Amino acid sequence: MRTIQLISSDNEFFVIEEHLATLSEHIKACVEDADADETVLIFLPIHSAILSKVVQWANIHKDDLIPILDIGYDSDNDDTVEKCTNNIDPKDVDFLKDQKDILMDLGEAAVVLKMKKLTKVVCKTVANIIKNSKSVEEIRDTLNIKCDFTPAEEEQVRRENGFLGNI
Amino acid sequence: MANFNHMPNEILELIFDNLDFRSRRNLTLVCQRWDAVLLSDRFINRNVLLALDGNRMLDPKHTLYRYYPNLSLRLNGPASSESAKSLRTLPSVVPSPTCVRLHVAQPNDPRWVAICEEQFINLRTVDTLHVVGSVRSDQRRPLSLRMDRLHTLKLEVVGIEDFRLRAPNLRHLHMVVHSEEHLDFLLQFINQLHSLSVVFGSKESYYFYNLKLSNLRHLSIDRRLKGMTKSEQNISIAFFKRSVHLERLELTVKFIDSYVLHTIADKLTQLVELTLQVAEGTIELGHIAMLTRLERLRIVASRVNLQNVHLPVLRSLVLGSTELGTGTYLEGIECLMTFTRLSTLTLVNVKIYPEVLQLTPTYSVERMVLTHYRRLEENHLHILVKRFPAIRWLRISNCHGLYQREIDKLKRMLPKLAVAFDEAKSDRL
Repeated sequence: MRTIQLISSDNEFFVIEEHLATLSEHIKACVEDADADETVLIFLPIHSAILSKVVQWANIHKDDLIPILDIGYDSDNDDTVEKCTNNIDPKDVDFLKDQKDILMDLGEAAVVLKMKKLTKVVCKTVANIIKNSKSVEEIRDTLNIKCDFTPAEEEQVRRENGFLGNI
Repeated sequence: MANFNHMPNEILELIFDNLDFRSRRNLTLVCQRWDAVLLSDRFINRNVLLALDGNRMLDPKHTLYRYYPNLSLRLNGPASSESAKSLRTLPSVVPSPTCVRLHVAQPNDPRWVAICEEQFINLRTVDTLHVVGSVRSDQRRPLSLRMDRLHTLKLEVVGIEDFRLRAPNLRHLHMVVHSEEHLDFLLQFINQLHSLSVVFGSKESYYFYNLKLSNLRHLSIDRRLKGMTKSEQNISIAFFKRSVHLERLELTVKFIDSYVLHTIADKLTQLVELTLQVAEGTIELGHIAMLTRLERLRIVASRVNLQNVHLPVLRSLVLGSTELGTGTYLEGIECLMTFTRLSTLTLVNVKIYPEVLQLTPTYSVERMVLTHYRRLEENHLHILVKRFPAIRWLRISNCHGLYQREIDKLKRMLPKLAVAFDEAKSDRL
């Protein structure tokens, strides 16, 4: 039996089951070269606090891991459900509900590990936060973003935006 | 709170992809980086379509600050001098479009003539053109266009006889054929096309089968109103005999004569992907036994017979479709074992006698998708799963009569099997 160990940036070890590797293109590529009963160590530039969350998420989803690589027919095809942010899996909604603080880091980790599904879920969650905000100020507040426009620049952007709205 | 100021641009783009225009429009005000990402060429190219109504004036007070490569222009309603005047400002707004969609509702629209004379749109930079409606014109000579960069063309038009196109780089053509003139139009590109997709209306298509498609790799023919009948047998067979280079074929017909299918498959030995959709009759896979390079196969028919065939490199097999109301009846499913490389099996709205399934197992299938399976009962599912002992991933959706607790039981029985399950919305049929 092959064992896969992920090592976080602060040197913590995470042992994961082999079939969880299919969730991440990055891990899958690392594992592919190894022999069947080798132990694979993968160093990741991700902090343990985040990595443990990623592993936790992967465990939630270990059952619906059907790789859709060469399935000709796929019921939830990527292109058809675009721009729709209310179709997040209820399990993921629960999982990410109280994780606002690390949402960003989770997204980065997902990109590093090339986990398509997690990336999508995180992006949709952030998109929902943006959607539910009433004003620009509220977005800056919730996402903790500093406004770096000078008043003159802001006025300029506002003018251009006004036109966009008319098309 | 994590610092969203350091969010990589790639992730920002992915987040904004999920938002529609309405919720996106004020985000440029948030900070400079958001502004830069939202208005970058790449993002606009992917997400923004400049949709203009030819009847409404562009407001001359505004100038566009940016460049929008994707343009959709609707010309419906009568042409007025006002709308022509506003369209004349288009080149300054969209100096070099790459993807253009035109909707010309009325025949003899003077604005269409003007477009062909390159008054409104710079056609030389366009690589994807989609025209819907009518290109008929009452000019004395046909309108001619020259588009050097064009590689994809979609035509859903009437009156094509009044339209000439020179496009030396055209590779992909999708066309709805209403008359023989459409085929004349097709004829001039016949040697340069890589992929062709034709949809036939009620018109007969004998003439089509006279064409010589020498360089074509992908062909899709949709003539669901007509079958491959005996009367045109010889001519269609001769057509496919000439198309030996085809790698991908998609055929949607009302029915297909078994002799025609057999002879076609004899010739198209290079095929890697085949889709066959018929509304009536049986498809016997035995007829396509010659397609030894086939990797992906999709069959939609009310009866499919899997006997007498050996496809050595077939990897993915899809049987049935939700469009077929009566469902697909499978015969000879025990013959699946002869497909030694088959790893993915998708069954959509099919009917199988469970007792047949207890015959020899198929060891190669690793992934299975079951959707719209009518009256899938628990013991039936167990038989199915036992029939495919190598199966590791199973997805079940839209199957009435199956509930979460039964899936939980299955998972306890086979802990190695990963099951994704969506409970059907309505009640048992």
